[in-house]
Amino acid sequence: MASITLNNVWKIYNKSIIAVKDVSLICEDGEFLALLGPSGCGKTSSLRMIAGLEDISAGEIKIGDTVVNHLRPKERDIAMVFETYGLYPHLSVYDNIAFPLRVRNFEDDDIKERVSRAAGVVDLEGILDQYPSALGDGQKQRVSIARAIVRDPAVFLFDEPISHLDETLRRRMRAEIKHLQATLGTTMVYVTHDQIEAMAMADRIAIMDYGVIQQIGSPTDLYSDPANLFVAGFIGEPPMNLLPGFVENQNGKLWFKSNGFGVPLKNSKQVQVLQARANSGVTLGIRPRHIDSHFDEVPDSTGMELYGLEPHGEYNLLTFKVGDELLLVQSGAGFYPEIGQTIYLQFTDNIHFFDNETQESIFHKQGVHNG
Amino acid sequence: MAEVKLENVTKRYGDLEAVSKMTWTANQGEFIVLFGPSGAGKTTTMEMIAGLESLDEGEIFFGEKAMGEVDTADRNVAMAFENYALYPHMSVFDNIAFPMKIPGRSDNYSKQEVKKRVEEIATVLQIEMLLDRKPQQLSGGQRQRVALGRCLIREPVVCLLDEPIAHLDAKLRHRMYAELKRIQRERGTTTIYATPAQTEAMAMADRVVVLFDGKVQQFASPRELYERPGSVAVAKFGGEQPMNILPIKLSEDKGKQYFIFENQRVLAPKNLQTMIETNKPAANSLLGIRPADITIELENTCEHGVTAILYAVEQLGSSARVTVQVGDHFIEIASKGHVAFEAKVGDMLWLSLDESPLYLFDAETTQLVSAAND
Amino acid sequence: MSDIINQTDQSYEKLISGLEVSKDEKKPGQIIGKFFTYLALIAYSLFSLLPLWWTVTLAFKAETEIYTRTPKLFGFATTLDHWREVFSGDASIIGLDFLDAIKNSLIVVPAAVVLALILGGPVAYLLARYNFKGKEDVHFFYLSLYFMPPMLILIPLFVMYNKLGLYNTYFGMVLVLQLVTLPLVVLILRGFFEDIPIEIEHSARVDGAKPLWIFWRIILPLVRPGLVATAFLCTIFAWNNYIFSFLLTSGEKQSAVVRLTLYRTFTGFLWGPMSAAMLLTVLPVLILAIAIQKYIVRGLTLGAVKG
Repeated sequence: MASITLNNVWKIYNKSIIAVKDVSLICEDGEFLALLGPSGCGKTSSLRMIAGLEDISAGEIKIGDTVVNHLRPKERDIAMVFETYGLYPHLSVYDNIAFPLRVRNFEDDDIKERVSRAAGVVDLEGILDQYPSALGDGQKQRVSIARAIVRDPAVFLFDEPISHLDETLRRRMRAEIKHLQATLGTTMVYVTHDQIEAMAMADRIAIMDYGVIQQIGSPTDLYSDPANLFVAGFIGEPPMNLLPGFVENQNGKLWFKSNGFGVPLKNSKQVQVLQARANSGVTLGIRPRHIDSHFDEVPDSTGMELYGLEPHGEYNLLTFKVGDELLLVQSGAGFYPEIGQTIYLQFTDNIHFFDNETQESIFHKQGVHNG
Repeated sequence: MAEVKLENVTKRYGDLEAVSKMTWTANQGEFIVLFGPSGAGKTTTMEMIAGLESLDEGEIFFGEKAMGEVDTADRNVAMAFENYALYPHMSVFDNIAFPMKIPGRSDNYSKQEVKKRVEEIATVLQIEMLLDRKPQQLSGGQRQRVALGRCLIREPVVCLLDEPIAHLDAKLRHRMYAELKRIQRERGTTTIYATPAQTEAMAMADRVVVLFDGKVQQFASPRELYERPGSVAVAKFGGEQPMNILPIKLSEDKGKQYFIFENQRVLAPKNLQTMIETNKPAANSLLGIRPADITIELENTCEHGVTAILYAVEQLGSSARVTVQVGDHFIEIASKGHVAFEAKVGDMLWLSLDESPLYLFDAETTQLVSAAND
Repeated sequence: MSDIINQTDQSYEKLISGLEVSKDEKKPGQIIGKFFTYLALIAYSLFSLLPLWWTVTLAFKAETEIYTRTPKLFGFATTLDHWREVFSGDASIIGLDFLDAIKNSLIVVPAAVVLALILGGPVAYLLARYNFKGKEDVHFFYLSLYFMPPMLILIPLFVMYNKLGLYNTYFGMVLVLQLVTLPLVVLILRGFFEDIPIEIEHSARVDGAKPLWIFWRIILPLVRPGLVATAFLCTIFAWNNYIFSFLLTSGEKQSAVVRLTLYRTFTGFLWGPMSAAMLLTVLPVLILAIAIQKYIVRGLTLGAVKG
């Protein structure tokens, strides 16, 4: 078990394409860190540099206290689980799992013991003599994981291991991987583009875009206190509403105005911070669940025409049009308005504001809302 | 514009029945979703409606007319495919305009009309700035919208959409749900939409055909699918979180009803008692409970509780998902808000079903016997 | 605890300039390894190109240089006599009208290629799209044409051609060359047709187009790079074919490849003129290759219809 440290790491391809830009982070010993972001953000390049599959253009990577920049992958005491399993089709499950040990000339008895232990951890005991072609996708991935476990490495690296599985299997595997981490306690770095996956499994998430780390924090931190527009829009399903507009004083109150629609700001702490921004361009961010909807007019609410309705069982998603943008509002399961009906929306004070120029959160780390 | 009726439609590939005796009717102007995992038979069904595949048994009707002998080109359907099927040697504009330019079509439009319609559709789909580009220059999401545009530009009898927005990001997808429904409602075109994503099915459908292994499990509105799932298969798929299905054995002892699950004998909660009295189900049954309806107790204080071991905890920002293990079974529990969990993986917990709405299914037929609130 | 990492453009500038200077130190073993690799590659290249260069030298060497005991690779006396002989046509000293042979090849080969495309194209399409009993047998049949040594059928072929009056005709040559070109068209084009997602055709059919229209206006344009690549390969094989032309023509309809082997007398081969003739024979196909090389690369990377 070991920590992983990246200090000012860069990855540049062909002297012109910057895949990873000045990335610094620490994954503590025993921690589950997710590298999250859209495709092309640099998360896979970062993982591959940690693994040693890519050269590091600049900066330093440490596993534990050792600088590993020049060490080849097999010298780094890591194990990697890939999206495409990488199983040897001509070897049985047992032989696949035993492979890394045989390559290192372990004793047969030792191999047998380690393989059964690893297989036990991922619940594969019954199928050790089968071949990959006979296995389902979930089983194949578990063999791949067992093969990584068997080496007892200091760090596990996962490269989008479950993104192509179907929904039910994915849920299963998420619980499995989480269980694995709880039982083994090994440091894990997990790359994914699916924010639900990252949020569900990670202790902390490093969210990246265009090669740059946008924010590092626990899932709760990223969810309730996003540092900038990108993080706010990326984390959470249904996605956060982001409405560009401006802040204005009117009749002694501070309002946010956007496309002919206004929200009064009542939280005194928020008003204090925002006062300085009056008349400048800001974007309002609020999650669908933090907007209350009513059939009748209530104080401080805005009436809007219902554009779309999505029933989702435990809740309903109402959509409204604000200029060119779409406003999503989450309501309880029993709330079934008609399309075209006027619904009265009340914004709670669980809101965020982002500077239109810098895209950064104005309230970030200022303790002005509940999160 | 017409209703689309499928009667006992069957398709076989060798010994495998890809679609078995499928019977349902889409009313005119209705938005039907074919929902099921990959391989369930959705695409095969769509292809048969379009005439791209032959039927082994059964018949498909557009209104009163049987489609058996009618060639695809003459059926006047529009179709959007999952892998876009754009013509790589044509620009986006030409791709979308293509259906209007095929010789021998009864609706022949003038050049200006075509241009106007293409631009209209492109604007709705937010791709109006891409009209000069070639497919290779577009991202996956953009290509998907071009494929949709090509489908929407016509006025067909029925519009078939095969996973048309699978590759768009979340924000755009929600937007497309609203836009697609709006366009469909305005035009009144009967639409059949295939997807394996349960949220999508729920979001858009007037009614859903739930398909597993080529067989129709249930054909009902999203609301009804959620409130009264007709079978275990449907229950497992409905709602944000699939229902937990527990194999139980019902037994009676000294006038009290019990259920046995994984070697645990539990006193039946009131809801279950009522169900047993009303329906007299078989001893071997399946109990359905939604993850959100189970309460976790850290101590054994519940009357109708099941003992379990904590397997994994996933924090999802606004809720938490807890997986527990009871013998060979895994049960999922969802809790709102941030759960400060003192228990560790491996600890023992108690699941309380005291207040939970329950669903009872027959173990043999997997059909619904009784639903909560029945 | 959340952190934001800010990047600065200054650090980027520093980095870019720094990259030029500090590279990863390579271990000495790696450098020597690379050196020997390059050495081996260059040596092999020279070895392969040597015969070609030799031929070029022969075409330009004066007679004395050709028949000397100590031939030179460079710095020899040159002459253009051999070239004059090859280009002399009717007035040939040796009696070989080589330009006539080139003309024959230029007529027969393109015709054979076009015929193969017309006949083989639809077959390839059917094999790609439709399932029928014995489909793979048909495919194997075409493949098997390459397993068969021409020797096996030489005599029957000769007799048949004589009886049918096809001996020494352009039509006869074009026909027999199908043995070489047709399998190539069927085997290669099948792959290209299979690469086109069937949904494209479905889409067009759903929109109301008839199958023939689809084949002509959609499929063919999409396989154009494949057609070019296939046609080119057929051209090479047909142009270089020796045995059929040798067997089934004599004199007036001989191909270039066959006629150049006739540059000999009782005393031996006429190396000079023969080498010149060889180079002239290679030239048309070489020019074609250069002209269409873009298409050949495209033909090998058809794709991106889906992401």
